[in-house]
Amino acid sequence: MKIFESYSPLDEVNSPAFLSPPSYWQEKWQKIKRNRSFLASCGVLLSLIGFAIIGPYLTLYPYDEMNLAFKNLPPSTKFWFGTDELGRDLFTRCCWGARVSILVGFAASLIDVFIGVSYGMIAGVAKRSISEWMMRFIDVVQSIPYLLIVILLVVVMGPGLLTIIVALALTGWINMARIVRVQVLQLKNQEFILAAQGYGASKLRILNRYILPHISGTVLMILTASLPTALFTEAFLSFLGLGVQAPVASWGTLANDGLLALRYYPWRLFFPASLIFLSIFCLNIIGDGLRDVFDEKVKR
Amino acid sequence: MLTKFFSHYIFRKILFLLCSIFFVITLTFFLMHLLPGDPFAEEHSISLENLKALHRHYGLDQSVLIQYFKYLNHILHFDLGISLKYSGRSVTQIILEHFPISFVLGLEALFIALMGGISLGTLAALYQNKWQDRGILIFSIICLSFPAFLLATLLQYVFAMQLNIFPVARWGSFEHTVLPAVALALFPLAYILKLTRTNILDVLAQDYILTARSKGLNTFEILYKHVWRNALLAVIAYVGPLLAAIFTGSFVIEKIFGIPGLGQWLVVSITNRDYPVIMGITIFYSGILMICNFLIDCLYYNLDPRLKFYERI
Amino acid sequence: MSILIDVQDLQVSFSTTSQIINVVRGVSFALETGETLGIIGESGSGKSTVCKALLKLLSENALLKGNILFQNKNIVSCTEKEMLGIRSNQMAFIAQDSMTSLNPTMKIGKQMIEAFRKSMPAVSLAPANEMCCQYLEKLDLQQSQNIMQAYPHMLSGGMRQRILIAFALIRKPQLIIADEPTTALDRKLKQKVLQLLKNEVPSLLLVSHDLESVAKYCDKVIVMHEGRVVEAAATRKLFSHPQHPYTKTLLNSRLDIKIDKNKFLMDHVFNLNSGKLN
Repeated sequence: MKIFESYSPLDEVNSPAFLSPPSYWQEKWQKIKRNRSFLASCGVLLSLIGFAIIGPYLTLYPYDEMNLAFKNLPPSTKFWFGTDELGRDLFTRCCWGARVSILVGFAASLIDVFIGVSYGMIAGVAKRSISEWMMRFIDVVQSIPYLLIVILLVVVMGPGLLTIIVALALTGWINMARIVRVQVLQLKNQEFILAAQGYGASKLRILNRYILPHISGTVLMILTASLPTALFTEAFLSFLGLGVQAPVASWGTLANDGLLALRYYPWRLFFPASLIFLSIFCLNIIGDGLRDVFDEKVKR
Repeated sequence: MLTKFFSHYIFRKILFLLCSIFFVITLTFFLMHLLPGDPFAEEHSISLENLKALHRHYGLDQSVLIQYFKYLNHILHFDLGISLKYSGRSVTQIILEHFPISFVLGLEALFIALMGGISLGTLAALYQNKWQDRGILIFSIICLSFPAFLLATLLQYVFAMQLNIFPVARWGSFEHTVLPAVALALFPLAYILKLTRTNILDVLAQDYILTARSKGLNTFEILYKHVWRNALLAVIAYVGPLLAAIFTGSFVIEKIFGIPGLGQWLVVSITNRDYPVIMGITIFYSGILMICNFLIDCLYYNLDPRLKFYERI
Repeated sequence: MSILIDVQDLQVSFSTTSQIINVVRGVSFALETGETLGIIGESGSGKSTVCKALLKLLSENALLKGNILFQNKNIVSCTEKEMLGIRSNQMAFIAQDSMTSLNPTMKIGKQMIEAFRKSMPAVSLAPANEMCCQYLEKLDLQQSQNIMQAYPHMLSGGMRQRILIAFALIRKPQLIIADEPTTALDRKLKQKVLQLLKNEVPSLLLVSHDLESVAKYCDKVIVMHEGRVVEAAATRKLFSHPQHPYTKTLLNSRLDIKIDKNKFLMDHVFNLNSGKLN
C-alpha cells in the first residue's frame, strides 16, 4: 500500500507559467467535463427523459387498452416489452410510468428544495434565538422515522399521485434546510456581505443576489441526491400498495405487478426494474460527480 | 461519576427524547383520526345498532380529545389497544411475539453492514483512484441503486430458486437468515462504505497524520491508532439513521421472504387498515429508534473528548 | 567536519488536476554535523516543502527530482521502509502548524510515548512517562503530569508548539528539521527553546521568519526566493554584507542589526519605522 510515497525520480518536469485561473463556474465545468462516467450518466438520463416524453407516440397503443387475447406475451416486434396480464402493452406503460415517476421525483425534490432553501436561509440570517428554535423544531421533526410518516400520510390522505408528492415533499426538506443554514452562517460573516450591507442593500436583496449564487452548487448537489430517495420511496410505497392507483402506472407499480408474476413472465418485472435501477444508478453517479466538484473539502 | 455521565448535554438529550416520543404519539393519533370513513363500515352491512354498539365498545363514540387522553393513559400502562381485524389479540402481544424475529434479522444485517462497509471503505480509501477503489465504488453505487424489493427478489431468484444454495422463504434455521440479512444489509453497507472512505480520506489529509508519519510510524500503525478512531466517529453518528433504514427495509424483506416479523405485520395491517396495530407498531418503532439514537449520542459524547470540553452551561 | 546532508539540485513539483506546479526549482546546500543551518525567505518560497522533502513527507502528488545524500543513502530513491527507520531514529521533523498537528482525540501522553516507541521500543510505561515529563519540563511546561493526561484542545497554541518540539527532542535524533518552531512563543521562551535545541541535538535545520533568532543561533544561512536559493553564506557575513538584492530587501525591511565584530554577538536596535519587536 503505497499511500505515502512520492514518485521519484522523474524524467521530465513540465513548468508552464502560471495560467490565469478560470472563473468559478468555468473551473467547475472543466472538472465535470473530465469525468466520463458523469457525462455518460447524463446522457442516459436525458435519453430516459426522452423516452418518457416521446415513447408513447412511438407505439400506437394507449396505456390502458386492454386486450385479453394478447395477455402475458413475451417481448416481440409487435409488443416491444411484452404485455401484462390484462393485455396492455408494457412498453407504452413503461413510458407513461416514466412520466409519472419522473414527475413525482422532480416535483417532490423541487418542492423540497424550495422549502428547504427558504427555511435554511431564514434560519441562517435570523437572530440567534429564533434560529435556535427553528433548528430545534427541525431536530424534533427529523427524529421521527421518515418513512413511517410517509406511510401514515398516504394512509390518511388516500393513495394517489398528489398524495405521494406531498408526502415526499413534507419530509425531505429537512436535510436541505440544515445544510443551507450552515452555508449561510459561514457566508454571513464574510466581507462582501458586510460591504453590501454597508451600501444599504436590503436583507432580501442580499439573500438573492449574493448568498443564493454561492450556495447553488451545494443545492444542486443535494437536489441530485434527493431524486433517488424520491424514486426509492415511490417504489416502496407502490410495493406496500400505497402507490398510484390503477390504471395509472408508475415504475413502482409496474415492478410490483411484475413481482407477482416473476416465475412465469419474468419480462414483466425485468423492464420496469431495469428502468428504475438505471435511473437511480445514473442519478447516483451524477450526484457523486457533482459532489466531487463542488464539495470544498475534497483535496486532490 | 454520576455528574460525569449525567451532564448538561445528556440531560438535554433525555428531555429531547421525551418530547419527540410525545410528539410522535400525538401526531400518529391525530393522523389516524383524520381518516374519513369508519373502520367498521367496510364490513358486510352492519345494522346501525350494532355499529353503535361496536363504537361504544371501542370507545369511538367519545370526542377525539377524550379518546386522545385515554390513549395516552393506555400507553403509559403499555396497553396499545387491540387489533381490529384479529379480535382478541392485543397489539402489545403482537409486538412481543414478532419483534424478536425482526430483531435477530436486523442484528445480522447490522453486523454485515458494519463489518463489510468499514473494511471495504478502508480498502477503497487506501487504494484511492486505483482499480480497487474504482471497483469498490462501482459496487457501492450498484448497491445503492437497487430498491429493496428488487434486490431481495434478485437474490431470492438467483441463490434460492436457481442455484438452490439457500432456502427460498420462511424462518427456521440459520440458512433461512442469510439471504434476507444480506438483502437488508447491502444498501446500508454501501452507504457506510462511502462514508468510511470519505472520512478516512479526510483524516489522511490532516496535519496530525503528517506528525504521525514524521515519528516513523508505518501505514498500518497510523491507520490503527490515528485514522480509525477519528473516521469512525462519523460512522457512529450514522448508526441512528442506519437503524431506521434497517427497520423500514425489513418491511419489504420480510414480506418477500415470508418471515413472520413485525415489519410484515405492519405491511399487512396497512393493507387491512387495522388502525390500532398500525399506530401501535409505528409508535413502538419510533420509540425504539429514538432510544437507540439517544444511546448513540451518549456513546459519541464519551468518545469525542472535544464535546465535553466545549459544553455550554 | 563531515557533511551530514548534501542536497543537490532538488526539484519538487506538485501535479494537480489542471497543471503541474513547480514549488522548488533547484535547491542545493550542504549541512555539516554539528552545524545549525537557517533558511529564510518569504512565505511561499518553498522552505516548508524543502523540509518535508528531506524526510519524504510530501503528499502523493509530489514529484521529486535531484539528490539528497544522507549517510550514504540517496533519500530521493529510498523506499518507504527505509524512510521509516530514518524518521524514527535519525531525523526528526517539527511541523509548522501546531493547531492541527496533534491528534484531537488522543491524550498528549500517548502521542508523546508513540514518538519514541520506534527508536526505543524496550522502554516500559513508567520510565517512558518519566522521560516525557522530563522533556516537557525542560521546555518550560510545568505541571507536566497534567499535560500528559490532557487533550490538545485544552492547551494553548504555545504549549502545543512546545509539545511538538518535545516530540522531536525525545527521540534524540542526529538532525532536527524545524519548520518555524517558535511562532507562538514569546521572546524569552523563544530563546530558551532555541538554545535547548542547539544543546540537545548535534545538527539543526531551522526555518524561520524571525530573522533575529536566525541571526543569533545559526552558523550558516541560506535565503530562498520562489523555489531557488538566492544566497548562501555564513550568518555573520550574510547579515553584515548581503550580496543579493533580494536578501538586502529582506533584511532591510525588518530591523537594523549591529554586529560586534569581536564577539559574534548581535545587538538589536529598535527601528521605530519598521515597528517594534518583542
